[in-house]
Amino acid sequence: MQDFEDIVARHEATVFRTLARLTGDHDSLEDLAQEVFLRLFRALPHFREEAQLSTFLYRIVVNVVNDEFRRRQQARRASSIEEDETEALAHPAPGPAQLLEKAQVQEAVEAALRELGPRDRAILTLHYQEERSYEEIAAILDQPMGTVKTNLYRARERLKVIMKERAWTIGYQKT
Amino acid sequence: MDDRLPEDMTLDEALDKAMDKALRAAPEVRIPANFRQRLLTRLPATPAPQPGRRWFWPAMAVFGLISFMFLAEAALQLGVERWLIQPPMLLTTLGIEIVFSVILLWRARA
Repeated sequence: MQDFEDIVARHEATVFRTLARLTGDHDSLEDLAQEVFLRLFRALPHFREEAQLSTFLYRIVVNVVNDEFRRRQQARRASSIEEDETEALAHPAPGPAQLLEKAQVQEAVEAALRELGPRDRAILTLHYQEERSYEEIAAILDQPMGTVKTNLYRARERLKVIMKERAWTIGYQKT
Repeated sequence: MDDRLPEDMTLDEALDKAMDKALRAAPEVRIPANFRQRLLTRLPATPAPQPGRRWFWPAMAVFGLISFMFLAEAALQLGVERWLIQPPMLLTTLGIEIVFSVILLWRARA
């Protein structure tokens, strides 16, 4: 048990910040983080030392987030709320007028990330924020490395498209 | 003549830099002070080893041995041994055993 507590202490910050980036939601972070570590605890007896624990943990994080998104989608369907309306409720994002200041760029990127699918978010987060190598990302997402590189490029391009749609009023244009 | 850089290129470069910086910046999160304590209280009890399972593999070995002896006796009664000791049959049997061994080893490592 002490070993597991040490593992939690070493990795809780990573889990929290990765969940925050992947979900864009700070309210349910603790519940999701608990779920991640509970799954890790149950899986530890089957964990093989050949793989890094961090790789294993990231995979659990991605799975927990995917499960959470599926649960939210099912809940939305059950409540018969229009998809657009729920997106506005769940992900308040700065409007074009608020993006005029460069200080809002971070928030704009966070908002744009929330418009991407879970897979795109995961790959961008693992590569940029968590600085995982292509090999590690391939192991985490269980994809060939070539697929990881392609998906990373495409995710970044999709993010750029969303950012361009939002950024035309930021003021990067020459006046 | 307007020699400014095309707007798209300027926006692209600026967006690329801004995106890189923003993507690398981790969001600020607050870990509740009692997170670990609450987690530890939710951990399931470690399951005790099941003593009943200890007899499983020895029992399977005995069963396998008895089955083999039964099949061997049946083969001898039917005169199958003359057919089984033919080189092609021996090689085929060996090949099948090698394939199954590799599969079992690969699954054990997976």
